[in-house]
Amino acid sequence: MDVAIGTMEREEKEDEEKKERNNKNGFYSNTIDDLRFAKVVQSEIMFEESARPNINYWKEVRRVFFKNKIAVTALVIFVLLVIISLVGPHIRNIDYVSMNMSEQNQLPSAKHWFGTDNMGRDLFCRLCNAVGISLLIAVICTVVSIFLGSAYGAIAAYVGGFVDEIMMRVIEILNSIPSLILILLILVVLGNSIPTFIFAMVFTSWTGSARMIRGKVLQLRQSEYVLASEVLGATKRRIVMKHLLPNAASLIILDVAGSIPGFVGSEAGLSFLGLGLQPPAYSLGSLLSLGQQVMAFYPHQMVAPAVLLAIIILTCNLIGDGLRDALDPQLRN
Amino acid sequence: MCIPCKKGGERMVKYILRRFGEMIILLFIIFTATFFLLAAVPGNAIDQKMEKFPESVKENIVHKYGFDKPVLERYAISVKNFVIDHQFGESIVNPGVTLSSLLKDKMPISMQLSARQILFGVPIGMILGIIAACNRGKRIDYFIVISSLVITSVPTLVFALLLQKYFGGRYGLQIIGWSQPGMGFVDGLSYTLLPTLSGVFGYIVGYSRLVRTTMLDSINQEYTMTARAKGLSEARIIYKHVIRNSFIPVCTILPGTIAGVIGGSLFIERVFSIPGIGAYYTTAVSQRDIPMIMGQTMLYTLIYLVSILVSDILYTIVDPRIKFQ
Repeated sequence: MDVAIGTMEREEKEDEEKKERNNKNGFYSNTIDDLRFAKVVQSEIMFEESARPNINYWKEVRRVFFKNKIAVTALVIFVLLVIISLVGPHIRNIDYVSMNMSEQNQLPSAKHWFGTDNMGRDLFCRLCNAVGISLLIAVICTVVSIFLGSAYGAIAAYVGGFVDEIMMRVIEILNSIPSLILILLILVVLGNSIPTFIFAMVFTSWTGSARMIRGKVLQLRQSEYVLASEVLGATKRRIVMKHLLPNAASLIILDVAGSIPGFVGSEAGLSFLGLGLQPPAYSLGSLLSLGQQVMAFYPHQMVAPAVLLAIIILTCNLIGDGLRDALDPQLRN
Repeated sequence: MCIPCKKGGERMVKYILRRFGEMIILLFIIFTATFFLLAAVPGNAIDQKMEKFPESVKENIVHKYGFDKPVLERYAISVKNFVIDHQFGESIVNPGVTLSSLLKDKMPISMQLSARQILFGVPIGMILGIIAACNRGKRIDYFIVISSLVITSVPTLVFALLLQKYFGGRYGLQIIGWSQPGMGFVDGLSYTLLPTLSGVFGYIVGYSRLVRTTMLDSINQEYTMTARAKGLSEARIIYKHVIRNSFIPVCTILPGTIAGVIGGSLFIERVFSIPGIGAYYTTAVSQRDIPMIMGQTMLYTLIYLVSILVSDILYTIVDPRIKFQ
């Protein structure tokens, strides 16, 4: 209460000062009976209370996403897959690294859940590791390419003018080479290794995020509500935090959700062609190509990685769809 | 469709000429970049080829391919070869193979494979999309939407492998290979059916999703409501007002599809051992066969750039709201 009274007093003081000022200017030449204009004490007013709790954007997003049964199922399957692939090789007490010629190409059994490959290595453990590596590469590629792309796009949109023109031209040139060709060329030039492979995939994919973020920032800077808050005297920091970031954040999250399955797929494809990971490193793509060689006699060696690959991409796509519905208020029913 | 007026026509010619100029500059930049990138790599196909040869023979071979000259001179020579003489170089690994021989021997096979995929995939996909959009919210719509979501998640590669495993060698279908030139369409089908099928699903799904979304977009537009209010029959509304407008994106994406299909068939060519141009490119890359890499990179880029140009031009023709700039 003290605080309230304090502010009241200050306000009254200010009012009086103002009146005096205005009197000097000859505003209040006719004095009005002040009693009729008694000040209402702020604390006495009953503020309107909202009928239901205030839900902020991210809470709402979470609520909508977790109501989507398909997306949640996909998320659970995906998380389970990741956990199994991380834990799997450790709980199975099997040497899956060295060759074991006495157990070549075995069918699935209690000891080898998914059988063994043509060098007698346990396929279950190898699959777990392959899923881990494929996802790790996809996540690294996604993070790097979206970070670079968003920064590039935001700078281009923010600086604008001549710099923007040049930056967009660079993207145009990069986009005019088919991406697969560019990846292959980079791999030829830099040699095959995991870092160069990641670099090659990032190099061909960041342009999409850059374009998207640039478009969004340009659109937001011209939008009326940003103009309105600028006019109302909002600081730059407030505009960035309140308007630019939340709007761009949902776009970036969607971009991440869409990029991961894409990278998983292209990594598998390149490794299948023998251009991605080189042995002894292996991923789902390498296992697929090894499986293809013995497909006629031991189909499970090819089918297992193929189905896993499809499941990973499917669950990622479903999660992405759920996120899109949750993040975009215009799509909500 | 409106006939472009005279002024529009002039502008169009100007636009195409400008884009053409830009394309040539771009091609030159890419040529230069590719050349110097490849020149910066120490090893190439020659080194592998002559590992066991005596010194004098090595020198002769290096001299024959011109790799003893300084980089800038080599660059000048290859620019001259490409631009003036239209000589795109001979393969180091497979002597006698040049870009033009590839175009003659391998390109038709890749083109056939691509053409089959597009000719089957795109119309079927569009029809499914139209069916889904016309029956939105009904069971058939859900079926098409969900199955297309599942099918997009299966990479072409996985499709090809599974089809090869479970259908190849049975039902009179071949496991690998491609039809010989003498075979008719029906005889060749035993070779071509599986590779075509493995690629076709991607197009069916892609185009059905595209057509469905764009059709739903134009169904919700006001001009469709006006048409409905006028009392037009449902078939006429769909045909005259909805489909026509929703084909704009289809028209503009098609050239890109045609260009992209050559790269996309790479996995199919590899799985079914089809002697196409995509498979040759990956071999050339892994063997570092520099003249072939240069030639094919330029070829792919050219096809890609032309298709982008065509789709941009189509955009302005199909949609009169968009103007040449």
